[in-house]
Amino acid sequence: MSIYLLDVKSLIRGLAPGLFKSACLAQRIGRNMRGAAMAGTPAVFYFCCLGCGRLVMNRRKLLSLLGASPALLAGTRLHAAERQSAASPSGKIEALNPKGTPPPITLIPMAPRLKTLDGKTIYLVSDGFPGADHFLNQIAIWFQKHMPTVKTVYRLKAGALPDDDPKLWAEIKAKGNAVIMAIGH
Amino acid sequence: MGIPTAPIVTIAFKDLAYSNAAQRGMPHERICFTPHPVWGKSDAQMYAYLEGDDPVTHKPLMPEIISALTKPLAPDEEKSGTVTPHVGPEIFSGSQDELQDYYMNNGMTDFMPIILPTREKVEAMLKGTSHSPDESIGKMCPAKGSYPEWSYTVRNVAVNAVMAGCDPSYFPIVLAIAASELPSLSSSTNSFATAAIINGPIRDKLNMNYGIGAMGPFAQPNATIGRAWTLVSKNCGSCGQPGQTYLGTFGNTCNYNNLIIPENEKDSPWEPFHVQKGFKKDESVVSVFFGMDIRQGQNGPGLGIKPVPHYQEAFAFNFGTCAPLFGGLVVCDPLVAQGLVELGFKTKEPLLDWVWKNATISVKDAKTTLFGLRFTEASAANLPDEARIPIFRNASYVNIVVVGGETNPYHMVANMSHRGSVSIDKWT
Repeated sequence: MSIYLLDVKSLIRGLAPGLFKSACLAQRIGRNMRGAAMAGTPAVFYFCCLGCGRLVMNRRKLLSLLGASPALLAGTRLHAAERQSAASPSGKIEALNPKGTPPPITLIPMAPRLKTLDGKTIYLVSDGFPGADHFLNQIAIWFQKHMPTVKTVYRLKAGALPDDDPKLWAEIKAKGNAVIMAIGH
Repeated sequence: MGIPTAPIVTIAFKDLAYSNAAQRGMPHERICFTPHPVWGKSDAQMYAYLEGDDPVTHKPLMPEIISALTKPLAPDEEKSGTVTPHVGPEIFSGSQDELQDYYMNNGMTDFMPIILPTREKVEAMLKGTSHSPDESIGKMCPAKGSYPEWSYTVRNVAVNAVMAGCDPSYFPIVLAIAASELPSLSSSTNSFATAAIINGPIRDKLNMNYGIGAMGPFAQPNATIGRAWTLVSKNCGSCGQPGQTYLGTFGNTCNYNNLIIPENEKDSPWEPFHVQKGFKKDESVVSVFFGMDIRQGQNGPGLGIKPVPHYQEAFAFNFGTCAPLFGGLVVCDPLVAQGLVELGFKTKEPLLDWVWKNATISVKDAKTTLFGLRFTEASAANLPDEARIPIFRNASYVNIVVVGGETNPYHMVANMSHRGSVSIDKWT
């Protein structure tokens, strides 16, 4: 399976197309590539201008000799860019993709679900963000009121927000049946 | 873990939650949503959230949570295997205007025109280093531990350096910044900023501006190296996609080209920053910082004392409102540094120690500051409320760099931490 990943939404669309209704970015890329004919590259312009710029520039010395602002010197680059545009006003050119490489994604099967929560122990886990402890306490109160056979256990995950907490996961696996985890804000 | 789990996220982070779950291999994860925010709400308001609807499904929230834990799995939810994401074709083709639009509309720019990275320009950029174009440089993501890390090569960084307007002679600095693996765009809901201090001979070789207006838009290397950092973060580190990998509520103008600070070693009375960090004086080095912000320090007490202002008091005062989550960086004009030498601070170390000890917060305030006691002295929890403790964890969290054109003895303070130093010479 291979999908385009210009942004992460396109990834989700590729993996779970039902989540988004708009057109997939990957499809848009395909259309754009077909629409933009691969014309020859006009390998003109630009570097000669940069080369000239380097020859004449010693801004610090110029500044000290003339008492001028370095901003006065900035025009040379702008002029170079203007000359570049004028050199090929309508030609097709090729440009490289600037993206790095995302890691492969290993699909993780979800854990089997419970038939019922009656009589089960649910761990209420906070990642440490302010307010999560209060929010999870309200969930505990809700269960006491509406599903009193459910036992809830509150735990604060150790470490900073993204840190793993294998000790807690082992405890939950040994003593719990399900987890409700408050993440972030 | 093998235990059914129902993650709960606030609606503001819907895209982030779905995308992160997908990138971690669970594209169908049963995420439940509350209204936003939870933080700052009363217990009664939070309970009302539970009695209300999930804002995504528009069904009652608690039954949705129960369903997430009990509804039998669909075949898609039990899938295993490996997916190889692809970032699109190697080459885009079109007219100048079409390509400018294409790069911009697909999130590959900073929404300002770019230099189109043609093969010729990228090849020329690659001549700025002796390293192989296919050499892997590092890994980056919007927040370590929270997102999968993307990898990138010398060639990937060269494409972004061209787009930013860098001259090939700047390329070793861009590579060194990329090798630091610190993104300039964090996923945090804070609108963080980054800075890079440049030291060593390369500053003069490239005519970097470390005099008047050093941190402003007055020199090509200062401007474009920092811009390349942000483009590398976006394109090589998957950062900077609002709602998915960027959540800063305000954004930060520093993110356009970051704070590029070539130290004014010539006019500084102290050893350069990179020498403090163990590098040789004749080595070129970039030191990266990450944190909240930077601001002018002219309001600090002590600055009106004559004949030599007590700059150190202003530093400590200005750090008084900083977040203990990060450290403190003083950016001072050479005139300030020379004044501090007159006050007896012949080297940076005693000054930094003085500032650390005198930039304080009351225990009462530390207890109520966001993340306050997690980052200040651990023993502070047992001190009386009126006791004062250093804001920053230790003296190494306070740094100082000298830059500027000596038009007046001013300073700035940044609430930022040093996140590493990388040799630029190794990337030439």
